[in-house]
Amino acid sequence: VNPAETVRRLAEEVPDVVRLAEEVSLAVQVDPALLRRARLDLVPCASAGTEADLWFSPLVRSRSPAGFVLMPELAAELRRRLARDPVRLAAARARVERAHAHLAPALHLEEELLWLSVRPDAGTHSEIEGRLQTAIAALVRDGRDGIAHWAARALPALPTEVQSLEFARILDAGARLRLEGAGSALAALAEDPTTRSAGWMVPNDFPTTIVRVRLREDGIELAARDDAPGHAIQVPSTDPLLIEVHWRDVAEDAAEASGRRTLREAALASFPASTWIPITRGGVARIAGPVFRGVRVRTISGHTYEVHQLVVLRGADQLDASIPTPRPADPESLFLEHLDWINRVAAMTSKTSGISGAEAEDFAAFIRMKIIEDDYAIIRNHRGESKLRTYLATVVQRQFQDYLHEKRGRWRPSAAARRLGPPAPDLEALVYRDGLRLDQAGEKLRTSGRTTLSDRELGRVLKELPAREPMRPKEIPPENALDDREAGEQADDWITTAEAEARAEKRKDALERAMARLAPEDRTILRMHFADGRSLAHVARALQLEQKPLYRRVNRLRTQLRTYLEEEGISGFTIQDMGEEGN
Amino acid sequence: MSMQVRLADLIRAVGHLRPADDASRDEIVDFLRGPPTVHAGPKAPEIHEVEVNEHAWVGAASSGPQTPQAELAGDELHTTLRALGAPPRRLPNWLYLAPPLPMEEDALPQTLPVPLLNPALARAVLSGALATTAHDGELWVEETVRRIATGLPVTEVPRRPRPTLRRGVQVLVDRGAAMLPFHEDIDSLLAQVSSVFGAPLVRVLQFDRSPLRGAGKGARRTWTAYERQLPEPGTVVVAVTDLGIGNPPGVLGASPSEWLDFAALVQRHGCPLRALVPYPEARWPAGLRESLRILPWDRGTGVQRVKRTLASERHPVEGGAV
Repeated sequence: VNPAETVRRLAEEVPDVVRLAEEVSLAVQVDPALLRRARLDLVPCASAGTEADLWFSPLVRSRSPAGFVLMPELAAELRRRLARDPVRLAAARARVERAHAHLAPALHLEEELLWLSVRPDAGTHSEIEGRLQTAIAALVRDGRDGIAHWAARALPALPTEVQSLEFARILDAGARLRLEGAGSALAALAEDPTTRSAGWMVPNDFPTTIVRVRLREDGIELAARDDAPGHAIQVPSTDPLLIEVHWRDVAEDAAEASGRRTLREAALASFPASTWIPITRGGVARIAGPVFRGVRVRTISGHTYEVHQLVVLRGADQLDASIPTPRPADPESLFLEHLDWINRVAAMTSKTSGISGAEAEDFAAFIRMKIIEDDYAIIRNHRGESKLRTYLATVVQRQFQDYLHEKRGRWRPSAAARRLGPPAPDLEALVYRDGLRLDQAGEKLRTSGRTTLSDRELGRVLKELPAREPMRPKEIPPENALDDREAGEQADDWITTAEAEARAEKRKDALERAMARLAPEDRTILRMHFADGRSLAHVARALQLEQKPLYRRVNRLRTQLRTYLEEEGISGFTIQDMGEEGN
Repeated sequence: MSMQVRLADLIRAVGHLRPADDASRDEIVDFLRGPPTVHAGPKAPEIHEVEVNEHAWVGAASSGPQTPQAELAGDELHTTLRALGAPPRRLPNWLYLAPPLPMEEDALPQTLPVPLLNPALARAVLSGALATTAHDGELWVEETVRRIATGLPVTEVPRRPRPTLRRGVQVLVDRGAAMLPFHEDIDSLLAQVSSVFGAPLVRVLQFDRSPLRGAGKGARRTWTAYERQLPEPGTVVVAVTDLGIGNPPGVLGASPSEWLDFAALVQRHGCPLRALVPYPEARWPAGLRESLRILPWDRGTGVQRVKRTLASERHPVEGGAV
């Protein structure tokens, strides 16, 4: 649908609504204060109902108690209509600036860009570039990662003429690199002669992965997998991975002077869109061509390596030896080697999701069990696309969702939350699913860049949502029940002390009965480890058992105990319970 | 043709010729390789991206993988890797010159919308709109004379009617989606009502679209039937609502008949009912104007408008005992 035609038709039906929309079209989000001011100043004959008509008109993309956001393409058309009258445009800009003095600086900048994009004055272009440079500086020079979230949301909604600017493309590439690890936008920039050295956009602490480079008689192979033969080089972990390949021992200018084409130029013939060779994770890029005596490869962060033929004479055995292919290590050894790391990632994942204490410990046990399951299938499935540590961290984070689903059931946002749009679904999940207080949920949403609303505004959003209960009862250890009950404003919703005590007693009795069903040695292991807090190494020494199998055995016992307890009607068994029982 | 140099040949040649530098050694290697197969003109290399299979690397070190066309066929060369490092991360000059983005903590508090009612008139408008009539004014001599003259027994002393706020007010706030644009205004209005009546005389209940669907003070899950929350007879009930006029996408507003049922319930209970509606009169549902005293909640509403609206409201005649 043509936006100009849509707005024109709407203006015929409801002229006051469209006029009001034009007046506020320079705002990123139209809040009630701005809308009221615009109506009273410019459309005084219109009633308060006109404001509501605009809220619910097809011009609006999303709405919440804090305000609404216009459809980007229709907002652009509204701004064009507003700009026909420079006096009106200037007044509207001044009004938005006054009403939005409280907004975050990035949103201010976005509103400036919207205004500049329709301002007819000379010099606007360079002003727009200046604003974009400020945003890039905040992201790259000042390391303000929140700008990446802002840019990812704001750039697609900016006018096309702004989006197509070189600095907008740089900002987009920097943001996507930080948020998604996406390398394609960066590669496109590196291709452009004006922005060729795009490596400065890669943060110093950007994660890396290994690419193996292998020189063959008839080409080069670049393999993004650990178990491939060849020289390992560290490459920024973009998606896809990017490597620039040159002929060996000649700098690009020297090659041009001698009339030889660089491989980069040659590659351009095959990859017109990019001189950077993209390598998918776990994939192999093979470059067939003339005999390469050596090549120079460069990563997107500017690290350069030379791979050249070995011509220095050495012992025959060394020359004949092929490059060894690393043998995969025993998965159990890898598990034990990485156990500390797994525990740390599990603890960190729990902490960032607001889970602590017994539940966090429960999750750690859950993830250890998952990794051990099916003869360490998770470790065996590691295909070498990344370091094992990175892979395990991803596994832990993904399994966390499964853990939550298993424990609390799947969560779907309510119809009201979906209707209100962001951040209502996230807020609803944090408050009603995860049991966070409003201020905790607000902090979490703001920190992750999912909202800019204050707690007060989020409170209003929350009021709009129907109250929900977790799909399965939230487990509250007895010793925490009192604290939780007293802590928040929902104190009357928490269980009473008497109920908590009765439940604790019931759990303790059930645990005793369940423990009695285990073999004596198993009971001893569990008591030593959980109730007495002894390490498994200590338990192994004390009981003269092998340490390695003990991990699996303990996890098996936990599962068995959990089954027994569930037969007793006790769900959500945690290590904490066992500790209490032991005491 | 294989391009590998046979080791024995190389050892023999180097031992015999004893080259003095790397360049000479390279020459020897090139000679032993035979005529180069490199094409005279630049040959565009082909770059293949191939799927990886489990055995892609089996035997790759010496003879090359046995895979289809995309696979390279030549032998692997013995190579060394030399890291040349990275140039220091230099930002472009313009990035140093770009003005910094202000930090967020410098931001100011958010402004509230200008109130819907004219602030200069709000107190008078609300006092007039939410007052009830009490017959406890000065002695009403004319009424007394009229009764005596018509031979009616004077069992009580008629007193002049006067507006009063002493019975308090029950404010019913519509929290439905259609009232989303007025959330801030509702908060301001409640504060104004409290300042007019005094907080103890104001009871606020919330509802969604129609009070008959349930109302309550706190979260929605605690709302109950409105019938059980009716105020004392004589207390003014004021609904702050759109009367189903607003049209949020995907939400069906309350019908006029729901509001008629509600008005009948409240009036049967002996409570005067008013509605503050943020839409102009032309858009009010026609059938409701007789049953509800509706006031536009907007700038143009003044004291005269309130008086006109409430003029037709009937009040029970009260009087003090003789």
